[in-house]
Amino acid sequence: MADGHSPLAQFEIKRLVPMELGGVDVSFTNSSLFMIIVIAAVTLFLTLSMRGRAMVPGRMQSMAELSYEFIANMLKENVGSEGRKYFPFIFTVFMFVLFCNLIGMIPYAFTVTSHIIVTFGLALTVFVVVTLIGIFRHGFKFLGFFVPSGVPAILLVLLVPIEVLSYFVRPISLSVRLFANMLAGHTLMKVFGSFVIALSWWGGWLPLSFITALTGLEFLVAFLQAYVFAILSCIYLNDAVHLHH
Amino acid sequence: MYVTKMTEPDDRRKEELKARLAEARQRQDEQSWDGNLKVEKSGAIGRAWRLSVEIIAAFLVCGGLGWWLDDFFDTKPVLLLVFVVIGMIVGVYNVFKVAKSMNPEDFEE
Repeated sequence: MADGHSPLAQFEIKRLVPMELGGVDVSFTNSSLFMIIVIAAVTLFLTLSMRGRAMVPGRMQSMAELSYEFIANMLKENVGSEGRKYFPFIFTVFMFVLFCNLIGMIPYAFTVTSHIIVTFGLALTVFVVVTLIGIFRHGFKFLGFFVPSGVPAILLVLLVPIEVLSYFVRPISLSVRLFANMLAGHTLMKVFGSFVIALSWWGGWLPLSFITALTGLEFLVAFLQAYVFAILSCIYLNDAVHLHH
Repeated sequence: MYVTKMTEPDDRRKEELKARLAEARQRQDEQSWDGNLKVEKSGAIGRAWRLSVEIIAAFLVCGGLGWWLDDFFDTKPVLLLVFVVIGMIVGVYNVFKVAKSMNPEDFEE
């Protein structure tokens, strides 16, 4: 296959404005460009659609209100009424991931969330923020989170290290889930796209119809993974706020 | 023209308003939410992803930790093997916890 037509070529990072800061490569890449596009898109979507402030919302305003209510209810159902003050954080994370996934679906667009370092950065932010919330709310009692209740003392020697390790697995599982979904989906689409070209007009219809179905599935995955990312952040937040298993 | 002058409310009225607001907020909370945390409902595919990635992530973290400790203590490959086994245990333990949170009623004794 010719260069640039590999199914993985779409994930290549290109330096648009090479920059260096103290020996560290901080170039402005296509990934950074698309992150800025995503932030601009979210900002425009929310501010422009809410500009009318109609009592009876129009189509765009309902979409903005719907996404607000969606996250507000998610927080209420998973964290309780104390979760309300963390709404801006969860909402920002959700909208960013959702728009990254959706903008990645536009042909020739770059999918920011298909890089593990991006999703890991997001997951690590969630992890650190949630841990800090737990420490600030409970102080030393936060360590009690690692001690399962109703377990004999001998088993605790075994269970506490496992609990601690399982706590540190969280950022990895959160990031791998999102990254693997986006990477696999977009690679699969490219692979089947090359089948269409290879089989040309007499045999390409089969993979083409498959791509059509796959595109639908990818939109589902884009929403679902943003949802899963947000709901897991809520569940972790609930653990930190209420300290029970 | 007659203009009603707005005056700063005195402290007593401010306190009253504060109490009324707090009461209304609490009522709103109680009405719109039954106080029970909901079981996660992200559909079959969402649950499948949650459970499967839990095992892989535990492997990666524990394996990575073992590898790093091996480098640190120069004991290749003993700690890597030990931590991969620990990773299996942690992975299964995590899946157990997630499954428990998905249907708590099945785990009641």
